[in-house]
Amino acid sequence: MSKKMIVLKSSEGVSFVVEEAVARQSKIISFLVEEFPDRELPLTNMTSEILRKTIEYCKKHVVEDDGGGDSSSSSSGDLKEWDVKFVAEIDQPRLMDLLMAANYLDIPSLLDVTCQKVADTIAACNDEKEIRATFNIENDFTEEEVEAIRMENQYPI
Amino acid sequence: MAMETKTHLLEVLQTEILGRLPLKTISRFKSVCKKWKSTIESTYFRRLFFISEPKLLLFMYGRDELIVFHGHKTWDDLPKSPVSLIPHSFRRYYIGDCDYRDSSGGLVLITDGSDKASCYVGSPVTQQWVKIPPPPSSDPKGDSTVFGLVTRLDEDGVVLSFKVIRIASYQATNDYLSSDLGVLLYSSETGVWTSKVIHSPHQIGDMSNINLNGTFYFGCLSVPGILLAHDFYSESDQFRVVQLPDYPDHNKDYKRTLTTSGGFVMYARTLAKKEETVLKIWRLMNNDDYSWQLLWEVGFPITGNYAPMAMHPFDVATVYLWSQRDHHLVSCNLLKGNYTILGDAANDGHQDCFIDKSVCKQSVDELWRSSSDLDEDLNFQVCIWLFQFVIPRWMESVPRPPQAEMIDTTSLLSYAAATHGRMMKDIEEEEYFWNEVEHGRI
Repeated sequence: MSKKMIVLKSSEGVSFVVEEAVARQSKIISFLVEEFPDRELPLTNMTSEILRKTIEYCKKHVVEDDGGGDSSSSSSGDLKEWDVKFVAEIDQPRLMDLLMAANYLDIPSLLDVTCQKVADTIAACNDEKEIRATFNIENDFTEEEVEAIRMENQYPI
Repeated sequence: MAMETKTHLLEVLQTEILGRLPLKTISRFKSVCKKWKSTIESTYFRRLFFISEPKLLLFMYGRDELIVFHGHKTWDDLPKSPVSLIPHSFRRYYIGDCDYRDSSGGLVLITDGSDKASCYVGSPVTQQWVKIPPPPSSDPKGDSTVFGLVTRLDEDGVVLSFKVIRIASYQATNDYLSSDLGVLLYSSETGVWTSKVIHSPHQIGDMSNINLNGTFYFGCLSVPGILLAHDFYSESDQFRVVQLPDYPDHNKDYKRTLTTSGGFVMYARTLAKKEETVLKIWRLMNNDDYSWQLLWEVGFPITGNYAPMAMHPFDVATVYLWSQRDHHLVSCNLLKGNYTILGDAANDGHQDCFIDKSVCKQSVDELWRSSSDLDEDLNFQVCIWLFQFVIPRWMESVPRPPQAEMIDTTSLLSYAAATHGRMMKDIEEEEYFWNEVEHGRI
């Protein structure tokens, strides 16, 4: 029995051939496949690199879901470990891109792991300056405003 | 991807990401930029935390923690319970102890056993405490005692203000039919103490009470089947009488308790039948005439002499029962009609629940002891006993009264340590003095 394949195209015009079951983890792709069967799906706001990463994630997860049936606890534990490793290997700017890809394609589990990774990164920062530097955020407060916030939120930690 | 879209998308996901951070550290992130600040302070963000289960739910009897539920992972770094804030050495001493007096809206009221004049109101989460100044010297006899705490909340459960209640006097009037309760009230809005006398048409019971939305509900000593209620935020100087819904339905096998759930006062009653336990639950409507609405009448196929303990503070379909025969706690879902035994190691879903079975057994057996030899009216007994503590649903600052001193937990404990030390020294000196007298040296 041959598996049905679909074609996804990145912003650079690179085509990726993926099993339908893998791609269907994205609710958007699921929808598009039904609406436009046998068509190449252009993902104009995703680079090849990010699309490749996204597909890698979906492949891993579809295999686990298929093979396990009612996946045993050890395999779901392995999958969690794999997820942690997967996001740990990605640098900060690409992690943000991947997070947005997960959001755009509507892949809840990928969105969950990427958001968690970003949250962990934020939590690991010592102060607001480090957060701004890590995420390239502009400080739009005046000195007085920062002081006011500090006064208001003096939680001894 | 264009930088602009990136920024925009991040805004959309900001709540999703910030919502995963440990709450204790969140206020720190307010100073990153304006967008983050407004996200963190938004109602939507607040509600994100609302939906999830309570982070910590605690039922206490006196100083004993009977049942503790732990919730959300975001709160892992918080103290597991308010009691854990107080070192054991303090709890052991008769003199110099810090004691939990009351709790409302996630705030707790702590008294310092050595310093009867002061008390502290604060949040074990934000670890902010307000040192409540001693009542003014106009306190008639100067021997009022710290009694309770009431709070005003907004619709999201954020504490807007609080009042500390001290009891100055209690007097039976009119040949022991009625009574007067003299209280001193400290308001966080004004930062001053005021006094008033509240008249009750009957005698108040043993001061056991529950409190909700600023109102205290007491049992009654002289008349069965009623509660006495007073709203400490009102201008009234009267206790109101609340007739219990099932009085005078005498049946010595009924076990009744007063609890709160979903913002209402609840009256729960169990009846052990041959093959089932019948639960009946009424809620007190927030209207002028204090009428009761029968919410549930459900039979559960469980036997084992079940007594009602409490209800879930937010979920009006969950009630906790204690089996006096099997010594375990069950959580009953009134909507689905099913139940689970809590704190059972075999039951994976409830590993986050701690139950002190020996204290539960002892206190429940004491409260609902066999009462066949009592007369009918005494049989009509409603138990008001569990102190409920729910961790605040949101990290708000404790309302800061004008001129009040704010301290953190470490200072609170060192205050207590200092007064304790002073008391112990006084006692030692006194002992030394008497010792000297005994030996004829003075």
